[in-house]
Amino acid sequence: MKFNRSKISLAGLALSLLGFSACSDYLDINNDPTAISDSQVTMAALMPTVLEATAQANYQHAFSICQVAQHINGVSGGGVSSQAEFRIASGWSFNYLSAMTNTNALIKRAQELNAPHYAGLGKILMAYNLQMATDAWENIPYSQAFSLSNLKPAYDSQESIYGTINRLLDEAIVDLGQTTSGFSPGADDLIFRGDRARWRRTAQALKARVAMHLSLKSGGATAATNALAALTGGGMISNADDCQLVFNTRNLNPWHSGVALANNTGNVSVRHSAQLADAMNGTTFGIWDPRLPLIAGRLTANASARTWLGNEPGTGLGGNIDLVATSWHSRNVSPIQFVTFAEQKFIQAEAEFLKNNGTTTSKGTTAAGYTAYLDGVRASLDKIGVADTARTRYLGSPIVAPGASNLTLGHIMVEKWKAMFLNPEVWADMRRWEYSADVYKDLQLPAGLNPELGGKWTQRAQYPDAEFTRNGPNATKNVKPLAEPMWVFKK
Amino acid sequence: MRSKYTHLALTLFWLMIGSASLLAQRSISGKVTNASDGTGLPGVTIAVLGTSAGTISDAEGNFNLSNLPNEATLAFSMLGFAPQNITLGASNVINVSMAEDALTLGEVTITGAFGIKRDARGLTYSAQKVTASEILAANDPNLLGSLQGRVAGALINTSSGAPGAGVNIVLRGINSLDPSGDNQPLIVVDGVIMSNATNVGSILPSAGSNAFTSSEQFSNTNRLADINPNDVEDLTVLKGPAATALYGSLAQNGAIVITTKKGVDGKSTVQFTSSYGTDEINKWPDIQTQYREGISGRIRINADNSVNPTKFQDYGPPIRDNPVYNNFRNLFTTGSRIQNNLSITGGNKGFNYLLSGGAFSQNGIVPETGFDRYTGRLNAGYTVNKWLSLSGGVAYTNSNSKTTNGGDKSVISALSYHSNTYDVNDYINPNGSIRSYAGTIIDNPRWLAEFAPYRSRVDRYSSQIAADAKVNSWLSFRYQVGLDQYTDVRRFEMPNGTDVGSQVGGFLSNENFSSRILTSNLLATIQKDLGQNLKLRFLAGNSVIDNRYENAGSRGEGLVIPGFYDISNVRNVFSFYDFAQSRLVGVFGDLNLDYKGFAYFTASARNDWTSTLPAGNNSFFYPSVGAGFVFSEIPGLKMPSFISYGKIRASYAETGKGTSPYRVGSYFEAAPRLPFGPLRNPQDPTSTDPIPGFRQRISVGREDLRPERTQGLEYGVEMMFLKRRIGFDVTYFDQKTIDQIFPVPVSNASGYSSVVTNAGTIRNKGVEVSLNLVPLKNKNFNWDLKINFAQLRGTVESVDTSVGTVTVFDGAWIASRMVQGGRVGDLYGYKFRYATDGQLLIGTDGYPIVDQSRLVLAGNAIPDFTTALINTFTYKNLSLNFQFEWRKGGDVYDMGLRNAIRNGNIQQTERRHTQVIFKGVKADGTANATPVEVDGDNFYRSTARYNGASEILLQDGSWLRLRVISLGFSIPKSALQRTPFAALTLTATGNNLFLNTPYAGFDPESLQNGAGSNAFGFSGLTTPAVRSMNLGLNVTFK
Repeated sequence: MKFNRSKISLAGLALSLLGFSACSDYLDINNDPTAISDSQVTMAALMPTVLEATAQANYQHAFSICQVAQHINGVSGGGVSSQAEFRIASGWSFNYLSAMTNTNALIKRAQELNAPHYAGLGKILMAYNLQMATDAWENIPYSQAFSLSNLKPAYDSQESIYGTINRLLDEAIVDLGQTTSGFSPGADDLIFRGDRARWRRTAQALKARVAMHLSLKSGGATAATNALAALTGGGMISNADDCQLVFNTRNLNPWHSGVALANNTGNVSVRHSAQLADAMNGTTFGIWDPRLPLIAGRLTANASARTWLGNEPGTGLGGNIDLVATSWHSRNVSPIQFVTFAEQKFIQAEAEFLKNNGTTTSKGTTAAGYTAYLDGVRASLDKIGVADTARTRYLGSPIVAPGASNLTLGHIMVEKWKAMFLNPEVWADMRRWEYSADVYKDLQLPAGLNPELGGKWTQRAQYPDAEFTRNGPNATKNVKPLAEPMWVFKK
Repeated sequence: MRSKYTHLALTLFWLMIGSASLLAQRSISGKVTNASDGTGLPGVTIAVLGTSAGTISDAEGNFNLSNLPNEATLAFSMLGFAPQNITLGASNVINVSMAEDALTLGEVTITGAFGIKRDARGLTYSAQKVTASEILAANDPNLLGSLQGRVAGALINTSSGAPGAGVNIVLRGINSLDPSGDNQPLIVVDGVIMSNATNVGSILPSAGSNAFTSSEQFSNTNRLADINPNDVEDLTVLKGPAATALYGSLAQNGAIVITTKKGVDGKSTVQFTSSYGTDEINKWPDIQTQYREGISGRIRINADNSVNPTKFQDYGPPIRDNPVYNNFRNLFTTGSRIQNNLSITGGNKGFNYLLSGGAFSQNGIVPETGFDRYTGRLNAGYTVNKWLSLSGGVAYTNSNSKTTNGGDKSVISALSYHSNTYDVNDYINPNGSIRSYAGTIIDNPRWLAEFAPYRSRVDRYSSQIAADAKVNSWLSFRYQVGLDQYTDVRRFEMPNGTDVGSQVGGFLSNENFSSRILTSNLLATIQKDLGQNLKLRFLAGNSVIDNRYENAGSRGEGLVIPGFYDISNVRNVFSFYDFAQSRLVGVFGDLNLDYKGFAYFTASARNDWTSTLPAGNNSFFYPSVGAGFVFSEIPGLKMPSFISYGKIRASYAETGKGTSPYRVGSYFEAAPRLPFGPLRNPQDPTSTDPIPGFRQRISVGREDLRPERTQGLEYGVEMMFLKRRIGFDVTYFDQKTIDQIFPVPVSNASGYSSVVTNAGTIRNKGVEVSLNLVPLKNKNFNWDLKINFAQLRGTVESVDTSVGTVTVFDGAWIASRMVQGGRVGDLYGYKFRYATDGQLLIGTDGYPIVDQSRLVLAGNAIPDFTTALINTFTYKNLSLNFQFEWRKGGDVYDMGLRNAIRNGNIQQTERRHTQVIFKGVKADGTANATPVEVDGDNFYRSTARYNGASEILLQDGSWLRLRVISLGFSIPKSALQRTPFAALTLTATGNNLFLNTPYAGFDPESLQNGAGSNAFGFSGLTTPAVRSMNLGLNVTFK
């Protein structure tokens, strides 16, 4: 029984090799089972991501910007509190990578699927992120952004960004007014649960905000007119219309986890500044602001210290209050506020004041302006949870409520500045009023001011280091001196 | 009872006998004797060249082998004897007389790819073999750790002194620009690929940790630790692409080929080993003993002058009669280790087996930590008939570790903050809560060690089965299929009330890793003599590898009932699931020509298809070629008598490589920090469940991704002198990896954070030298010496211009970066400012200035050279062995140093409250003459004046250590005659007993980022390394 085993074996080997090489199916397993493709993702899945990322961006911006605006201050000398160059690198990432990229995908899907309700929401959020970013960095990428084919997008001018913001908001208002939509947001809308009317009012308030930014550039009266025009037909009607993301016991408010809790474990970063504390403890204005104990906690139960003191801007010394876990802004369930009713009221108040030929030193406004002002203050007091008696006393004081003919710009802007504690928008107000001490009483440059500024206030953030390494030529082209005002905040 | 069936059986029997001659299989037997006295020589290794078959001579020197091809060559080798290769002639009985000889360079037969034994003479590349006795002499429970000092050019670091700590090995430098790229060699055990992964997992809480990644926090075990070193017969390290060409893309960084013990036809042997040892910390920082807790020179007080109960920082008033505690030393206790192993081998004609079991148990120097490993292995071989034999093995390991956290806010980090005037061992209140002298700012490390453990439980099964078929005299096949599978169940517990856990109310983390590698190898070998002078061996094969990995985990935050760590007992649950599967199919061929035994030529080629690259580009081909020339044996050429052997060799090889699965393709995945909720709308009493959200994946792979390619050129010289008493092997290598696949960071405005593309080239060049000497050898006394030396340098030849720099690891003050034109391992930091003439620039305030505007090149983590000296004295039944290692150069950043400086508890902050004038120049060029005071506030704690500078933070990590010293005594055979023992040896071993280094912290060899990481140069926040003393017993039964 002789059989040629060798030949059979060779044939077998050849067959098996052949079989393996025709095995493209065997190797076709490179699809991640834990992720999905862009054709499968739904708008309802992208919406929560965008909202949460926008809130995180707001926090990152506020952390640095509110030091410059002297809401908060570091606990030692130098740093952003002395207006050293700051970049808000995490903010850039949250704005672009987390929020706007996914908003862009959301808007595209909404347009493909004919869902104007989603498109409208997306456009408002895109506009808001753009506004946050351009107010920090001036020229920023947009028209060439969000594309794999252009990894080094050019930066658009701030002027064109502002144009885009207004266009997006106008389109959003129209989109949200449509009665039918292929899909509509619901529970995935973490802010308003799909309430389109509230989103339209938010868009209007945002338009008014952006219009007011041009007060220095276009002149107060023009800006005021545009702002009031944006609010025709309503605008926000109460605190219930506040556009804010409320955090919860599982997703902790970043001021809580990043500041209040960290301050507790010895990793202290920022506390209230003396400029804010003095504006509220009676030192600057002679009246006790009942919001102070609600937005701050005293560090030591020191009975002899009757005053609540903040950290001196630039040195960080002298303070005895802190953002604690029970402070209104830094609880785990605190909201991050994007656009609020109180802010809108102050915008209206300021607009009326300026239309009435108001200046930084003049007195007097219209009745509508005065009412708007008082509504703003009351809204803020209510929002923070001030008790009725304290609120009545505060609003009844002639210091706070001097009457329409005695109202100054300072009243409006300082109350707005206090009401918008930890909202980065306050820096836009300060810059367009050129950090005037006539408007913001006792405002001065911080100690140890960054020598690069040559004795002037800082006007911008620097682009993040990552942009210089990854998109160098474009970033470098758009670098300007820190003290040079941006297009929008310049005459 | 004769019947027609018997008749049929007999016919078949005769036919088989008849066809046996056609099949030309033969059985060989014989005896190996000692040439000097003619006695039988036991333990001689007899290998069948060109196959993986072989045997060992028994106690009388007898051996037999069956199923050999007609023209096989047997290689006889034994330590201390001149090796011999005998080609089978007409006779089936081979008697060999072996002459004693000085130690030869390495072993004569090397186990190469796929377990094929090769004659070392015929190798055209460098391969280093480590024997079982060398592995055991190192006394390291982790198999990779036992290679330290024995492999020239390998950079082997034990990541920490924690029990079960992972060991990192890099051969011939870091080849990868990708910070998460794998630079570890392929591990093959008995022909089957075995995972050496170090699974890191993710145990960071959602708020409160400053850790960069989880890898910083634990010295996770590399999975090769699951192998019991006692099961290893030998281990060959294949370093460059030429050596690993047959293994393909998985072996881009070299391969370690391990063979476990097999039984031997003939007698059975029972062996038992047992050892016990103790561990101590080997090095710790010096403390300052002059000042108490406090700040600014005073005890810490509140604004109202009351005493502040928080006592952290040691910048207080001078110590008068307060006790001082050296907490850096006192936290650590004496650890212990116990090991027991039993192995039984045996066999008779056609069947052999090995059965072994081992138990290893270690308690760490940090209290409440430990590592246990239980192993069992069964190897068997069976000769089915004249042309077919089967072999296989199955092994099971159960590894359990309990350790404590490292890195940020860890035991060691807390220790770096701890005040010298408070005893770290006073850690617990009567009610069991943490006693911390600093509130929730610093945790007591001793309390953390006890109440915040990290546990891992691994069950691992590896098995393989192979069939060898000899078709005829020149053709044989081998098919092997193997499986390596493990599950690793992990749990981390962190109580509330600690620095790490308080922000989320305490948390627990559960993870379940599961890994399975399936290997299938089909080989065909042709061995033929072409004429008188030329021998040919051709190998062709196919390899299929399927690698699957999963991790399902959950984290619970906010413990309801304290101390009960179950996922039911938490307020918030976060869960995640990770999965990856990849497959590789390869075909390869390898040609070897041997001309008259002195000239050799090899050529090989392999083509791989990988599932990880896009379909159009997933096939890659790579060749290799090599030649060797034993110039001392050219016929007719007479060499001077002092040269016993000389060979030169050269090879060039390429290897290709794919990338991780799922890199190509645009995906949407779960967004971080989400689901969001539950949401409670104040207007509306109803609330929603948590809402998930998705985002575009921030890293995307280009559709035109190509395989990366390593090109390696290697040449070497081996020579032996004075009857092989002196020998050296010098290898020079130059290895370039091009088209590196890694994530290139891109502007976030594009919508992505990185794009995976082919974007760079790294080149590693170096030299490896092995030197063997036998200075003295006579009847009673033997002295031999091995020296290994290696030097290597890696440069980043090119990086995509859009990338700029690749950050491998950012330690906040020191970063490991790869930059175009820079070196692998470059470390960047902030430096002091200097005047143009190089003198230190002193500011107007009289202090030096740290330039914090940008990170600049401050050092390099790769050593200038590494060398080891292994010395063995043998006198009759005594042996003394010691191993020194010296690593010169290689900067290390002690990650605990800055905190220790800022807290003022270490020696370098002892000089305080004195006036000094810093030596340097002012900005205007005048010499500095401004006296200033140095103390905590104005100097040591200042980033801008002192502790931000790399000149302070980065230290020279050179070290010289006595890695092993051991004294062994074998009871003479005469004394054992009336005992059941055939051999009995007692050994006392000391590991790491001596360390000399300029580095001021703990042992600089420890790696902060654990095994499997590419980030070198970071150390300090893991369990410190240990020195140990061990007593062992090794018994062989009759």
